[in-house]
Amino acid sequence: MKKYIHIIILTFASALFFAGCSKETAPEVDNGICGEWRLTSWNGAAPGEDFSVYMELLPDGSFNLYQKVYTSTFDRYSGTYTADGNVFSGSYSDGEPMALYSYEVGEDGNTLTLTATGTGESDVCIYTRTGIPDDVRSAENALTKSGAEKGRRFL
Amino acid sequence: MKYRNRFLATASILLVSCTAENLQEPSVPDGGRQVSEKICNTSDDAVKGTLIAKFSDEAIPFLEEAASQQTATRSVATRSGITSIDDIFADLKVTSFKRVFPVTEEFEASTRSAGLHKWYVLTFDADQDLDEAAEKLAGTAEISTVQFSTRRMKTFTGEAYPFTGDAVPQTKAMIRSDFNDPNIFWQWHYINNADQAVSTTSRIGADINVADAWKLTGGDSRVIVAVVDEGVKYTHPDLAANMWTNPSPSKAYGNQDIHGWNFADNGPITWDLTGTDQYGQPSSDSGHGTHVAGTVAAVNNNGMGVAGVAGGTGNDDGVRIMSCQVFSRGLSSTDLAVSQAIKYAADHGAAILQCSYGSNNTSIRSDREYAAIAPLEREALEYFMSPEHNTSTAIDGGIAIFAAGNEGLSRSNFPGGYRDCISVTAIGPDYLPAYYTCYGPGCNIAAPGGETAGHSGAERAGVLSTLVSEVSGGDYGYMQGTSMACPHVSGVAALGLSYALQKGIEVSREDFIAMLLTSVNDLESRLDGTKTSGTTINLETYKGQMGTGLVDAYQLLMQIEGTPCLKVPLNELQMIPLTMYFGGSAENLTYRGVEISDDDIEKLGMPAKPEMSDGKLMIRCNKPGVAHITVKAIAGGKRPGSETVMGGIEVTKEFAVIARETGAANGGWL
Repeated sequence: MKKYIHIIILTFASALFFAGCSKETAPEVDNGICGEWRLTSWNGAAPGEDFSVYMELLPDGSFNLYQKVYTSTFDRYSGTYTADGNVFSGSYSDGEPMALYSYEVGEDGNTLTLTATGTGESDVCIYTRTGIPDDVRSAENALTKSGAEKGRRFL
Repeated sequence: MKYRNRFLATASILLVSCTAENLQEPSVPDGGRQVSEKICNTSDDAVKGTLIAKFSDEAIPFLEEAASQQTATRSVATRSGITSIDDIFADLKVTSFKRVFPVTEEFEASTRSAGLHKWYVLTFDADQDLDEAAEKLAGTAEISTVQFSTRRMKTFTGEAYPFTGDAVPQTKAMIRSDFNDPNIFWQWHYINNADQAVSTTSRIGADINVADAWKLTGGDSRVIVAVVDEGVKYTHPDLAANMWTNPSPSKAYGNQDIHGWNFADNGPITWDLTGTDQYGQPSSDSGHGTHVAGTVAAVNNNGMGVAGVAGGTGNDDGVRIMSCQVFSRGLSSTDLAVSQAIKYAADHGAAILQCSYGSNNTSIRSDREYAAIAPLEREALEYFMSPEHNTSTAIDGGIAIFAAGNEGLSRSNFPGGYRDCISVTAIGPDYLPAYYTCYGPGCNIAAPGGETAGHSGAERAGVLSTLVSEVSGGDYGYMQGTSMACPHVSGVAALGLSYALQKGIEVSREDFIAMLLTSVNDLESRLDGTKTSGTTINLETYKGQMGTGLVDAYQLLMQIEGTPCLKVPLNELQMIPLTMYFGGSAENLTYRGVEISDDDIEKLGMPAKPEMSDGKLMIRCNKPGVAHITVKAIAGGKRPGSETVMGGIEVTKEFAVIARETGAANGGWL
C-alpha cells in the first residue's frame, strides 16, 4: 500500500512539473483575450442572418474558429495565435497565415476589437464574449472534411 | 438516324398496342357540323359512355337538390333536376350522374372554394355517339364545359426484369453506405462508382449523390408522397413500414381508403390484376407503381432488399407513400381518374405528387393548349399546388413532379410540361441522356432512369427497385424510363422537406422548387459526339435541353441549411460562376437579370451595376462591406414557360456578397 502511495505522489509531482514547463514554452498570450467570442460587428454593421463567426482563444495559444460565411453550414478552422502588446497574429493548421491585427479588449473585458493592419481598406471586427453553442461546436473541420476533398461535390 | 427512326416506329407500335379497352375510335370531322366551343377536347382516345361536364353557378343548387333527393331515396342518381338537361339524359340512357369529386364533410369547403364542386361525370350507354352526346350537353345554358375523358399512359418502356440475386462483384467494394440493405450495391443510381458489372461505360457520379445526404437525414414520416400510378403493393416487405395509413378513412370511399384509393376501378388498392384490352389481348398490372414507390421510399437499413431515396434510417422514419391508383389491369388511365387522384392527394396531406404518367396526346405544345383540352386535370393540379387547398404540413402548397416522356421527343410530355410542374428527363449509368428520354422545352431537371438495353450489364443498367412478386416472380427488379427517373427527384424532394422539418427551417414552395432545381451536377460538358445504347443518339442535340442538370440530394440539403455568402476580393473586376447558388450547370443557364439596391451599389463602391456575362457574375467592389444581390435564371431551357410558349421555371436566388480585402486564402475569417 505504501508503495502505491509513493507512486501516486510521484505521478502528481511529475504532472505539476511538466505543466509548469509547458506554460513556460507557450506563445505569448494576453489572458484578457482568452475565451469564447462571437463576431457582432464588422465595419460598423452586424452580420445579421448573412453570416456568423465564433472564435475560441485558448490560453495555450491555440484557437478554434467556427464560421458560417462562405458555406451553408459551420466550418471549423484551427491554428495558433499570439497576442502580445496590441498585436494579434497567427496561422491556421494548414500553414496559411491569418491577417495581422491590432487588438483591444474592452474595459469590462467583454468586447474584443480586431483592426486589420497593413491593408488599404478599413477592416474592424468587434467580438462579444459569448459561449459557443454546442451545435456550432459540432461543425466539421473545413480543412480536412471529406466533402471538401471531392471535386464534384462542391457544396 | 436510321436507328432513331426504327426506335420511333417501334415506340409508336408499342404505344398503340398499349391502348386500353373501351376507347372511342378517333372522331371523323363532320363537314356540316360545327363543334361547340364548350367542348374542350376531342373524342380521340376517349372512354366510351362517359362525359365530364362543368356546370354554371346557377345550376349547382338544382343539381344538389336532386342529388339530395336521390340520396334520401337511396337511388342511383341519374337526373340533374334541370328539365332541359334531364331530357338529354333520358335520350342518352344515363346510368349515373354524380360529382367528379365526392362530397366529404372534411374537405367540402375547400372543394367549393376552388370551384371543383361544379364538375360532374355522367355515364351512359356505350353505344351512344360520344360526339353527339357532347354536342347535346354543350347546347344547354347550364353547362359551361364538356370534356371527353381521354386516356393517360405510364411513362415507361414496358418491361420489368426480376432481380436474380447476383453476387456482389469485387469492384462493388468501393461503394460505401451506412445502410445494410444488401442490394444497394446494385443501385448505381444512388451511388455510382463506375462498376463494370453495370456497364463498361458507367461513370462515377452518375447518381443522385444521396449517400452523403443520408448521413444528415433518411426521411421523415410527416412527409407524404402520393404515387399516382398503378396500385402500390402495400404489403411488400420492403414497403409496408413506409406506407401512409389514413387516420380517418372516408365514407365516400366506403371507409376503405386505408393506404390510398383505386381511382381506376373505384375500390380498394390492387396491384396484381389481369384484364383484356380493346383488341381482346390479355393485359395485366406490371408492378410499375410498386417500382416507383420503392425508389421514393423502400425501407432503408432493414437488412432486406433495396434502399429508397427517402426510406428512412431503419427507425420508422421514412417518408410515407400514399397510393393513388389510376392504372389497373395493364390498361390506360383517364382524365377523370387522375384528376380525382390528384385532389385526393391534396386533401389528405401529400406534399409531393409523384407522377410517372403523361398525356397520350404528345402534340400539346403550350400551357394554354393543355389548359384548354384538359381543364379538369389542370384545375386538380392547381388545387394540389395551392397553399390554400393542399393540407400538407411539410410545405405551403404541393409539388407536382412528372416524367418527361419516353418518346424521344424534343419537348416534355404534358402535364409535366405545364410550367408549374416539374418535368424529369432520364440519364443512364454513363452520365448521358437515356436513348428514350424526351428533352427540350418544358423539361426541368434530370435523374437516373436507366437503360436496360445496350449496356454490357444488360438489365443491371436499369433502375433497381421493388416489384410485385405475383406479377414478376420476385420482390425486386429492374425497369427503365423517365418513369424511373421521376421518383428519384420526388425522393430527393421528400428528403429535402424531411430535413427542413427536422431542422425547423421554413421554406416557401417557390423557394423550395428553386433549391431543388438548382441542386444539380453538370451534364452539359459531357454532351459531345454520339452515344449508342438502345439506339444511337447525337449528344449535341441534348445540349441545354435536359433541364438544369443531374439532381443531387446532398446539395439540396445544403441549400436548405443556409445560403452561403459570395466572397468578392476588392478593387478587381471579378467574373464569378454562381455554382453555389445555381448548381453545377450554372455557367450554362440562361439568366434573367441581376437586382441590387442603389444603396448597396454605393456602399460597396461598385463602379457599375453587377450583371451576368457568359454565365458568370461580373462584379467589381472598391469598398469592403456586405450587399445583397438577387439573380434570376431559367430552370430548364432558354426561356420561361408562358401561356403560349413551353419553357422553364424561373428561379430566383438572393444571397449576400462580402467584399473584403482581409481574411485568409483558405477561407478563414481571421
